[in-house]
Amino acid sequence: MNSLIFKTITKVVSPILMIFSLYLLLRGHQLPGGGFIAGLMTSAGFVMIYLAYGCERFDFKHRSRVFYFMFSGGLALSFLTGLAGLFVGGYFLKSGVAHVEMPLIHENWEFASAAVFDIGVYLVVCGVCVSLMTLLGEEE
Amino acid sequence: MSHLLVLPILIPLGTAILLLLLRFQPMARRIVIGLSSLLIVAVNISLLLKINAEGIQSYRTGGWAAPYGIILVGDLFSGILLVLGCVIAVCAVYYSFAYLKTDAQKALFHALFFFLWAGTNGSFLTGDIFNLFVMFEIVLMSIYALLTMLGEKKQIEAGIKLISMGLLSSALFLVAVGGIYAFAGTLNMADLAVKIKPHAHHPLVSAVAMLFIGVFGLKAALMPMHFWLPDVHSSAPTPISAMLSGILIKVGVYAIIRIFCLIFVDLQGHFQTFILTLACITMFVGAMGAVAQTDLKRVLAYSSVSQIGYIFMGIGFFSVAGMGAAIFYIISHGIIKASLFLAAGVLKKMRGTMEMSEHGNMMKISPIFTLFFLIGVFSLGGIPPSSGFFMKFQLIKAGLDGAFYLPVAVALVVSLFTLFYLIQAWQKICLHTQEKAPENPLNPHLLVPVGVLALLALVLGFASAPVIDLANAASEQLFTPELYINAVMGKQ
Repeated sequence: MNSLIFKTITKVVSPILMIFSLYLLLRGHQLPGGGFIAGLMTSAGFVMIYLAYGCERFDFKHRSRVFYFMFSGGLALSFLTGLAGLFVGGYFLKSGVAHVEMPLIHENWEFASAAVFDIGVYLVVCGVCVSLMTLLGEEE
Repeated sequence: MSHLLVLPILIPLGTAILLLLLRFQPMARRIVIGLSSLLIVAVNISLLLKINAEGIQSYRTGGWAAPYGIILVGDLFSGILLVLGCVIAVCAVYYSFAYLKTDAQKALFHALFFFLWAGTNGSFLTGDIFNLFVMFEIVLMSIYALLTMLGEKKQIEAGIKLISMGLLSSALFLVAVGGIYAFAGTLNMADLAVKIKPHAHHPLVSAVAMLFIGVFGLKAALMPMHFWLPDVHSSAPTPISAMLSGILIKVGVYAIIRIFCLIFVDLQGHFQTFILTLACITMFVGAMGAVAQTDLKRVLAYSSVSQIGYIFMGIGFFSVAGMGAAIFYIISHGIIKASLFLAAGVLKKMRGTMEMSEHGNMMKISPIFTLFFLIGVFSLGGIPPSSGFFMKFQLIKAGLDGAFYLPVAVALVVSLFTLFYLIQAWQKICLHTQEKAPENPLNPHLLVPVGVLALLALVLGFASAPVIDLANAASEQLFTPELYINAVMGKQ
């Protein structure tokens, strides 16, 4: 697609999309959001770049291995979170919460192990979507 | 609490992920596959022994108690199916190394295969009906890809049929699950059993039971829903055909047995005639289809439809003896059919086709192959002393004890057809003369799993008594649903 309007919009919108998706990912434990939706949003950003500039600009083809290891690594991360629940909490997929007093800002932050699982989901969704797009867009 | 119950899902899942990460290291993949296959076999067998010794086991994932969390439950029936599944899967994995040509294919195949294995084990272990849906989806997703990955034209066509079947059954499954959730407010199977019991004859409950027969019947290829099976089972890559016919159609059978022996216990009499009628038609239609085929894998696929009819007949008796016979039938048919499908794959590798008229002379080329194939044929045909004789004998004895004379008569007539089409196939392939020499020599690595499974079928015949006792014990456990409910809900 060779449209100046689309290219210009992509330049502005895709970074915002990606940063907002990270925000969604991190708030997802208690509020609407989470790994799946954030992964889809990040890959929407990649799709915009792909459509506006073609696969050469970002060099999707040569980075296909990066995205491959992104989704298999994400899968491994989520799986290991479940295993950690087994070894630490006594049940597979058991989740835990830690409250940590942050230095300097003196605030009590909550860290949930489910967030790590969600990051894994995020990587899987993002990696799969971009890999699919690159594969389907390939010229045979 | 012991973690043994969650391991049959965890090990294949972890292996699959590891295989994805090791995509570019063929040697490391080989080692991982070998080790974890053996580990799964060891875990599944020790799980069966533990269930046999200590009764039904349950496990709370995430530490959430029933009925809120997802519960894994292992009773004797699921233990038996886990062991059967891992025997067939190990043979299929070994076979796939010699069957697949390129390393890229192997990397994809084995990762998907272990996802499939995790899904199958998960469906046998889960105690939650929505989780069962999830496990079914894992199985279906892996099968979609495994079926079409080699990209032959026939496989793509079968893929379309499988996907339409999969989407239809998933949609129906969701409707059924929604219906039962609206009625009972829970999806935990043991909790459902308690909550449905006082309302067993409510119209919505019967409707949901019927929907479940539709959904699981579609997966198990019960008669009006068998349209997808012959194409899919015959065109899939051979190790997958063996998995499909050996264990995956039994996942549907397992689910029907589970819900009718746990949730819809009081509706058994209500659906008995219906299930028996469908079973008889399935037996007959499958056998008729098999007689008409000229392609060996299609003969075997139609024969699977027919054999599913036998298993459903055992279920339809709704007696301890009938269910025990059905469970023994599942075990022995799984092993025999996997062996026969793998044997068909050996032939395909030699001449590149499955048309029986293109084959012949196998008696001269490889007497060992002829022998293994003959064991499979005789076993499925029901000739003593193979396990096939005992599986049919148990079933018919259970039928006569319950005075179901018509289904028994149909079963006996159909078993003659079974023997006919199998012996005919064996004769064409092994005895007939064929001028054309095979394009490729016989690969001995492919013959190993065929032989292992065929000998296992023979051993199961000679030592059938302990296995039949185990199947009957599993059946008795199924007919005392209180044991299951107490195991899940009891220790909170």
